[in-house]
Amino acid sequence: MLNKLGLVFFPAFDWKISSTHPERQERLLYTRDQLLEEGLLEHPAIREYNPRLAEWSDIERVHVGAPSLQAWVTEAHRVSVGGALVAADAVMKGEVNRAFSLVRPPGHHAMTMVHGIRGFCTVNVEAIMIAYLRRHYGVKRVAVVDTDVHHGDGSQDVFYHDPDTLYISFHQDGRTLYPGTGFMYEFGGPQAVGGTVNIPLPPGTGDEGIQKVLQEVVLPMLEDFGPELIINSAGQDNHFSDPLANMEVTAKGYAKITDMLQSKIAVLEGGYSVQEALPYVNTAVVLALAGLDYSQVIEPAFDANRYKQKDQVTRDIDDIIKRWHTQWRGRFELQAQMLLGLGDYWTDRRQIYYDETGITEERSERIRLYADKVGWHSIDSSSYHGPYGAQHVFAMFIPWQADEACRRDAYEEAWRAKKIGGADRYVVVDPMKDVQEVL
Amino acid sequence: MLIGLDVGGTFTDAVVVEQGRLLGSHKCRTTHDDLLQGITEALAGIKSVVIPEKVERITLSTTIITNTLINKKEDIVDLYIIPGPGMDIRPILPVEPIILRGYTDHRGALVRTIGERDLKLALEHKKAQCAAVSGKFSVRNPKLEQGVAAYLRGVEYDLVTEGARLSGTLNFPRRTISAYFNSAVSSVFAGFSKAVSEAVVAYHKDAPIYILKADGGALPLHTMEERPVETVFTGPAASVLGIGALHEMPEAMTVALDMGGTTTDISLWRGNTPLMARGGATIREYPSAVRSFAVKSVGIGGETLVHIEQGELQVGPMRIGPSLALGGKAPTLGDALLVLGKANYGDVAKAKAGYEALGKELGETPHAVAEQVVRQAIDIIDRGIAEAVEEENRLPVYVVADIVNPNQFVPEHIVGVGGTATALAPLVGEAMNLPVTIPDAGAVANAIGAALAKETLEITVHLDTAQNTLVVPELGLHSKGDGMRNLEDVKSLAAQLIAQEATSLGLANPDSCEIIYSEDVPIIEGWQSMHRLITVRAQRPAGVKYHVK
Repeated sequence: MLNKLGLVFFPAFDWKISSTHPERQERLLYTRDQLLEEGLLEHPAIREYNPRLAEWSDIERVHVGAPSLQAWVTEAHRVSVGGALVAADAVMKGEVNRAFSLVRPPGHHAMTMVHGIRGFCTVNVEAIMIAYLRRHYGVKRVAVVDTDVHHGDGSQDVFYHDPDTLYISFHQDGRTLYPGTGFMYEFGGPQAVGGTVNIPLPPGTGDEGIQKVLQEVVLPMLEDFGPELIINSAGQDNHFSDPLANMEVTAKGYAKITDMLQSKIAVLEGGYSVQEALPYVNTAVVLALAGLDYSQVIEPAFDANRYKQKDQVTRDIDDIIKRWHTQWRGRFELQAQMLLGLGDYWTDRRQIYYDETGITEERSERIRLYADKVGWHSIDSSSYHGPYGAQHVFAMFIPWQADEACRRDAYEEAWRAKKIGGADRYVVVDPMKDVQEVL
Repeated sequence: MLIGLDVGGTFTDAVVVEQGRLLGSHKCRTTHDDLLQGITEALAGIKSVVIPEKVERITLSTTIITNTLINKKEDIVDLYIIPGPGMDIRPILPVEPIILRGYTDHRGALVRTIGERDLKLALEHKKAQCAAVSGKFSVRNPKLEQGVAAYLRGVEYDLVTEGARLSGTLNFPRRTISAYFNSAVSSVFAGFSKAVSEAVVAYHKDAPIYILKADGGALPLHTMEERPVETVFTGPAASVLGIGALHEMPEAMTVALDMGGTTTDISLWRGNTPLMARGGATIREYPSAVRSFAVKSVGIGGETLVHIEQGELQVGPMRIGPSLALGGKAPTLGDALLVLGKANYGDVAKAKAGYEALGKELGETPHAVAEQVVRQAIDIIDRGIAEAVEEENRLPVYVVADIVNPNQFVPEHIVGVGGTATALAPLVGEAMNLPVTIPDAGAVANAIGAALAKETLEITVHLDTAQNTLVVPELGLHSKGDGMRNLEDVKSLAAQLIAQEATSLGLANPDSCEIIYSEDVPIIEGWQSMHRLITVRAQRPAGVKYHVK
């Protein structure tokens, strides 16, 4: 039992976004071949699990769909989510020490509202898993470390106002890569300042760079935050051969940070170098998670000279590390400043683009601020030009920490909004009560 | 007319079957020092009912390879591996391998070849006369493995096994272990094969001699000289076939229990098809790629020892000898069943006396102790069944459809055979709330199973339309794809290859073939051209030729 890794492997050979899309049937084919050929799925240090079909109620703890979740969420998504839930159960029941849900499709670009597909993602697998952990296992403080090359803007959106979820993402600088967000100033909402940490890295960052960031920024932050569980959103597209990004991390580099992070549950995110990277990265990561030797996992395409991190890149990374030390130290002060003069509510308006569906969502958000507890979060959300026509949904998210008073306030606010009118639907989400209801 | 010979640990049985009828049988002691003596005696015992010119096949089931391996009597063999990048498999191998620095990637591309200089250097480690070669991804491209094997055969090795010839399935450690043990038992097998041929020829000059394999299939004895490791663990295989021969399985999902003196062997069936072990048989502690039935043994049988340890009643797992009722020295599970009136044989008074003694020590009635013993035994069997079912249901799933409509094994029916089944199987059925059937198996079920075993073959055909390569590892085939482009093409080629191979081995019904797995994944090469990676596994299915009444 000790040091055993639970592995949920699900390549979804019958699911694709489209025939030529990076998120197609082939994506985990060579990974499957490599894992089988290595004999890893039956290694004594590894216990394999089959995924399951997640319940709609699991997904409804996090997401509200427009026009509905059923309009966008396929069985493949439910199995991908189910893989993470199986991984969570295996760890929480003590059957294994840690678990890796090696499944597709991915989820970290999926936000609370689902008007379509964003960055290959429809529902946020880790967010749903964490809501499940809170609902079924009473887990409270959770840290998510996102090692995908893209900024996990979906995860950031879900966790932005939750002071008990620390979301750390390091990624290729948003000025050079999709989704164009993930800057230092996106640092958490008013009741969760310091709960979101974005570490944009220069293109060309290699093993040396990400290890340094982990060692000098991420690990100390985790230490300060003190989570009960560390979750790894384990994207694999920082790899030097990834066709969609420009980083230079190797399979062993990924294994090394996996080793350093010691996450309890890892969930696969992106990674689209399906032949040259994924079989090797996954082998190395699985070995690392199982506490086995990964030193012999070397990609055929690896060239130590070519993929040596450039000096300028190292200097840029050192600079961001320094800036982060300052910002992290000042987080409490920043929060105090931010709350100053806000009163009982915080509001925001913004637009969200769905690249895969080609639509824009318009949002206006409100947060109820209390002096001593986490308050509700409402999203008035509309979109036009989607395949289902114009959508306008008002969603009230009751925080998982809510007490009865907070719950009452949230319903009151939702009814108030409905009375004013304008939206097609008014939905209240209460994750700890398994409730998503239309008013 | 088919003859079956089962050389078991205790008895050697011979049977003659014809058109669904058992014509005769003979049971004699297995002569461990000289197996042939027992075989000769068994054949002599059925001589009177055999019409020599009508004998189509003589099929042997033997423990010789199993015993060689269990007793670690195999030869020492030089193991050459071509691991490439990945996990270090040395810790899980039976010997320290000689490592060759070449490799093939997951698409079968040769990333690094092995030069003659590397081979010469490796040869400095030569210790043995036989060798085995195994390369990672040799099932995608066997060239490196074949090249090394050819070189080794050229330099004074008597025999060299290639891993990919034994199994076309992706699993480098298992193929490596299979290849190693295959070479390691080849001399024992060759000696046995020669002696058996001589013994049989005295009775049946022209009848072909077949031997049972772990997957329940039979193949000509001489062809198995190249792959002797596959004749390991034929005992459970013969027993599983015996169940199938004597009892037409219901369409349901069945748990078959072979309840003997020492163990209860659990096998799972979907209709008439027993399920195969995932990955392959485990030889000592080494998981191999040898295909075998999924038989799970638990240490519960009629002669399982019952004793008291630190005030606690213990049932098994040891067995020290016959039950008290049959003149043994210590109480057994069988005695408990006698005490409870579930069976009736031997000296029941002796069984009762044994349980009275146990009862005295525990301060309970003999009846209560016996009940407790049976309950514990059933618990152990129940757990064994649950584990077997769980293992079956944990088979990998690769497509959404398999999760949405899972083809889970759910026991619906129990079939019990073996000496203890009449008394014990109904109790297991009661505990699991399942109907139980106890066919009249007779004492020679294993030999009947061997006699009736179908001839099995299995191949894996892998087509990569992008690279235009076609690989059939088991046949050593690696060639151009020759215009094949879809799954149907590959399936019909697989059937054709099976038929060819069956014909060349002289098997009955050469056209028998079923596709047991197929996978067809569209891929994109260079972001534009659409290709396919297709894998098809085809087999001549295991099972019995007909049922015996």
